[in-house]
Amino acid sequence: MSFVPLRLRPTGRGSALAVSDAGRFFVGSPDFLERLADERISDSDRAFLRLGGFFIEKGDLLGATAHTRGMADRIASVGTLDYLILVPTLRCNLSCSYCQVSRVAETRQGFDWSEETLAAVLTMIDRLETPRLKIEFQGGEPTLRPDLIRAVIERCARFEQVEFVVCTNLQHVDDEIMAIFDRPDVFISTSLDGDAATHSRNRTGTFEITNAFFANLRSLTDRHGPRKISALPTIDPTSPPEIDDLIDAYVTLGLDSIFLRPINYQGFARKRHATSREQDDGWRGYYERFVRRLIERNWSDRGRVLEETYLSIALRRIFQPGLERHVDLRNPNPMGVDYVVVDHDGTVYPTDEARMLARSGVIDLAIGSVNDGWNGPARDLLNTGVTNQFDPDCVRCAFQPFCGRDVVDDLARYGRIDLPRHETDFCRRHLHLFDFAFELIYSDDEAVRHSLGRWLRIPGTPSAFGERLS
Amino acid sequence: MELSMRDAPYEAEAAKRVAMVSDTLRAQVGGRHVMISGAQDEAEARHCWRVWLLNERLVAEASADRQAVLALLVA
Repeated sequence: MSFVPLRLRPTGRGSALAVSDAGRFFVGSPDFLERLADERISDSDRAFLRLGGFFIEKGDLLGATAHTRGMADRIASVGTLDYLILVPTLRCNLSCSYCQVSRVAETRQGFDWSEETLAAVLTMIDRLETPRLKIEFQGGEPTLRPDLIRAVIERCARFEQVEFVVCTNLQHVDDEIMAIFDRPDVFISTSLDGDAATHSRNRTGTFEITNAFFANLRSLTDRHGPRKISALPTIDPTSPPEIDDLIDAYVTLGLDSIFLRPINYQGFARKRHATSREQDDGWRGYYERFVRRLIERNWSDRGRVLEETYLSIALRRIFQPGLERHVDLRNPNPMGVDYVVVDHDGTVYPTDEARMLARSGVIDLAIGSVNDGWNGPARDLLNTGVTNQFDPDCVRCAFQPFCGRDVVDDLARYGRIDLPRHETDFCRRHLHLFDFAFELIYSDDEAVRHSLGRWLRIPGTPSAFGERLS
Repeated sequence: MELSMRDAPYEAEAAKRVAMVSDTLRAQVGGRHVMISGAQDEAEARHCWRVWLLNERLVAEASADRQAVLALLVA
């Protein structure tokens, strides 16, 4: 008996997107769907399907092997621990209304790494077996403790390749902090919600503090160029900024990538922005208009490529399996294996969102401590549900090869992980994302194809990104 | 248009979602049911329903082979 590893998703005009388990795809016409439903596919259908790995006849060992290899390429390979998110302090010098981490005031005592915790972190780093390491300093505001950042950086000299990302609000950048930022292996991640008025309303509260942030940001982009710095906006979907205003805020600083995120339902946002639990069509419409505006601007100024970061990640998941490690979309997504979060008190969490949930008193998802390790039953329990391969909804979904699983997100929003997938925000968000991605992939608009090519980092612009079967 | 009764074990969640459905929402095709908003034209609703049924058949027919490949890869 033949094997047809296909799943369908309705598209417009009576057609359907057909995706194989290996992530290869085409759009089938209404006539083709009719033939498929009636089991009277033609010889040319059969040839097309066999060539694309959509139809594997019994005894076709080469086809079966190619299909197995294609599926294997879609399964995330998880190696040794090589990504650390470190929280040297929970203190912060800002108080944003949608702060995700329940920060504490700058003056509070007892919310920084102790001497013992620092020693344990350094010992953990000494024991890492990876030649390549990435460390992200989170907070609170990590630059309140430059001494701790420096101690970690200095301990990493033995690695073949190491990269540090300091996630900072850039409110205060003195000489000591600038010396850290000047290192070629240090990168900066900050928040930029739009123009000064928007940023001030959302985060800083006063124009004086806002101006200090913008002055520091401009100073750093002037000093190091835009490649050193990435910035992310947090959008309140109930009052999003004007799209061109937001884009211009990034463009004027030389920043081309914008990760368009609605308020995350974490930390203080759970109370102050309760509607952020789920996003509706209002947000999805804003998102699509934003991306289409980027496409227009990329087409009118072909010397510059603006992108929405998460859409680019989704496109790489579709076209370039194995290259994209973004944890929200990898599958399986095991916790506490190749990346962990070490909190201000040495507690180890599987993700930063898990840390936020614990801080908010929702659920304690700690898996251990930097002193005692985290290879225990708590981690094993979390890892029982980290793949979409066997979920009854995902098994039926055409986007399964591209999508992921995030049990912490489900716990954050619903307090459980056993909701039917399509009733979760994660599923609805990604159904929309991939529906939109395939709408662009099958667009005949040259401007759309130009942007897709740039976002996928491929040379030139192909005449089409997807096949059709009429 | 509702083509299938929705099994809603989580009534509060279901009510919230129904309230969120807009006039322009496309059909939500799930594993066990189809929800289609009132503004959906009948032709598209029928198309979604037919694709859902065909998908169900393809998934069922491929299930054993799919599980075999997965078992091979996971082992």
